[in-house]
Amino acid sequence: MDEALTRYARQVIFPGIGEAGQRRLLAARVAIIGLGATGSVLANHLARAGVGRLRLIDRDYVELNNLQRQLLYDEEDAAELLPKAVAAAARLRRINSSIAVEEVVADVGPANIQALIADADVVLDGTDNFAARYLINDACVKLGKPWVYCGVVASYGMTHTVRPGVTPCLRCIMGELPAPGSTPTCDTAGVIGPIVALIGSIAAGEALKLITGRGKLNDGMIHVDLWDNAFEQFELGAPRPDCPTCAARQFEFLEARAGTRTTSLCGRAAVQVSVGGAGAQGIDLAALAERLRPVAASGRVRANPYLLHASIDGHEFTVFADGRAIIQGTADEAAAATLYAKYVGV
Amino acid sequence: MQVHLGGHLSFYDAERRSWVEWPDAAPLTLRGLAERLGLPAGEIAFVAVNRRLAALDDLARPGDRVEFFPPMGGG
Repeated sequence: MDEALTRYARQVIFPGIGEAGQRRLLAARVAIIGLGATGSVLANHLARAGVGRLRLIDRDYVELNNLQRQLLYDEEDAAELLPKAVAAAARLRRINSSIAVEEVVADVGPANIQALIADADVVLDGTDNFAARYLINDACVKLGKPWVYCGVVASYGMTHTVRPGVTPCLRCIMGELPAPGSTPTCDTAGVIGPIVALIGSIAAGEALKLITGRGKLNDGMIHVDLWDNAFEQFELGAPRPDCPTCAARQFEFLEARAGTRTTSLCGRAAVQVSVGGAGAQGIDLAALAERLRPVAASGRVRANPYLLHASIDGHEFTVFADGRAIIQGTADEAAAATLYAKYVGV
Repeated sequence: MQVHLGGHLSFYDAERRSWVEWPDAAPLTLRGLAERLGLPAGEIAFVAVNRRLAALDDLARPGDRVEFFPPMGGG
């Protein structure tokens, strides 16, 4: 066996990959968007498998409460407040110094996503919100790149491999962007590490198959609930002929007509976060108040028909009935968008 | 009809059941079924009938296996 392949001997022996497959992996470029729990699993598998070039993109930094499930990080990373992309890249370079790992500390948005994935063979979803996923969906459909959706909450998760023109895209399956506040998040409903590892591992397997051109891809929607011991795969059929994204090729998230928007409020150490587009249909403040009560300071959430207010994670949240929020305690727009996704949900 | 309330949707059942038996009667739309079960349409991102993706305007028939799931947005 070629010396360059020796460290991958166990997967080269696996007939599904072989020497030809390993060479494809070594020549491949993968972009991973989001390096939290799922992204950690994806990046770990692909670095060890010898994917030649990994681009790791994340807007957040490591916190102690990430360590329960975000497998690439440790207490030192949290103490140093390291950006996740930086900490992940350093860890992966120690795991496999023969591949190229590029860290990008950035909030992925309409202005930068096409450049970030332009040279990628596969794009992987390690994000924690649907606004980012609908943006990834737009960009990947437009550029004709395969991407793998992964979503996890509590003990359950789903994954689907989008191959533009071949399998349904995210918009075909889920329609409009879920309304703000309608989705439980890992910060309001919790999450256990094993479900993230499981869904992330399935998605990493999909990446290996996409790159090597071997194996049977997931054309359906895989759903697992570890607490119910439920494992299912749903048939999705063909892409929808009336899909605005993959049929009509209207990329509203890419064109910034929709999705999360942030505006720093000068002099107030506050940021306004809003979600526009077809999915912005208002918010059920009473339901959101119930979800936020367990994480709010002293369990106190004040609400009236127009807004709710809570102190969470050291920040003052004011959420309006139209889905808009003002988050006080930060002037950092990317940080505010992260807080909005965590606690209000998009 | 067997109906699955996936993820947190089971919280909308008074007994917090993730599977409920819906009395077989006339066909009704999945949207109508969700309403009768007290599931907010905005919290349903994925619905399947007999393990195939369906739309809320599709009909559910006696004997079907219907599964509702919320958006799974974390990661």
